[in-house]
Amino acid sequence: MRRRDYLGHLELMVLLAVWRLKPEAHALSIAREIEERCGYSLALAGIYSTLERLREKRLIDSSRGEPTPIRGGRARTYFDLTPAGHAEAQSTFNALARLAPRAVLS
Amino acid sequence: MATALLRCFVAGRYRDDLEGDLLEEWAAGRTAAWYWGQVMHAVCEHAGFVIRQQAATCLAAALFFCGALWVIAPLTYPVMDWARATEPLRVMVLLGWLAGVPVILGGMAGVTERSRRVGAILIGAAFAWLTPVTSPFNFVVCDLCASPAGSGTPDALLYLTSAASALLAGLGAWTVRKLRPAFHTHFQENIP
Repeated sequence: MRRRDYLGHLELMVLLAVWRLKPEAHALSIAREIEERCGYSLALAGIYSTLERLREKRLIDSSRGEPTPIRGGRARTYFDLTPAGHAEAQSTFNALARLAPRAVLS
Repeated sequence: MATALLRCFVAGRYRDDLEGDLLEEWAAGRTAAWYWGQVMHAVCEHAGFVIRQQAATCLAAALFFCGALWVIAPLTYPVMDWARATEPLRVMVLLGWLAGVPVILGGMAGVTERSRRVGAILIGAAFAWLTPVTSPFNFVVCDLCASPAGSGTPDALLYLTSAASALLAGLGAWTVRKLRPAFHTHFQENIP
């Protein structure tokens, strides 16, 4: 039987940030969102490797934006949740909420 | 320089995006320390990713380079004795040894690998060179560096030559990897 691939802590945070930010979810905005709301200062490379893992699990999709001069002519990649990503984020978050003691939730 | 480092040591789907993000943040007023920190983090992150994805290749490359150096180091003693006796040749033999052997070993590893595993081979080679397992090789290099009248070689040089050799091994593997399709095309066109 194949072992279920559960979401990690960082993966869940990135997935929720993508959900919150769409359709403007890109690595920089995800990093800013997590820093503002959670206080975690994450390196961009860490965000990208997490996004890559989520993409391999088919939980997110990506689309390319237009190249801009300020980015040295490079395009930006925008991310969005797939239906499986929505379901996974929801079920993982619910599982955490059910597990948490009342004192943590209040 | 940091961007060049990023291009050399980081690959993958999102490298261009990361470069663009760094440039954008740099233009927005981020410091050089932040930029370098992001680049070094990306290099380490990528190395970790390659090791996780290609663990078997990394291990095989490390074992290959360790074994090759244990075999090669003793074979060079006669050459070194001869080189030390002739001062003008000593430097040439030293450079040939420092640059040539890692490139050849890396090239051999590049020939044997069948897919995009050059990064894993580079990490394996670095591991092989930076561990005490390869001390015979390092002693050989130090012996060769020391001039006949000199008092020996600083330890720092030993580690610098190790790191440079690992990079050269990666260069050899990468070059062979790049040239192989051209060789194949040439032979297919010229051999009936």
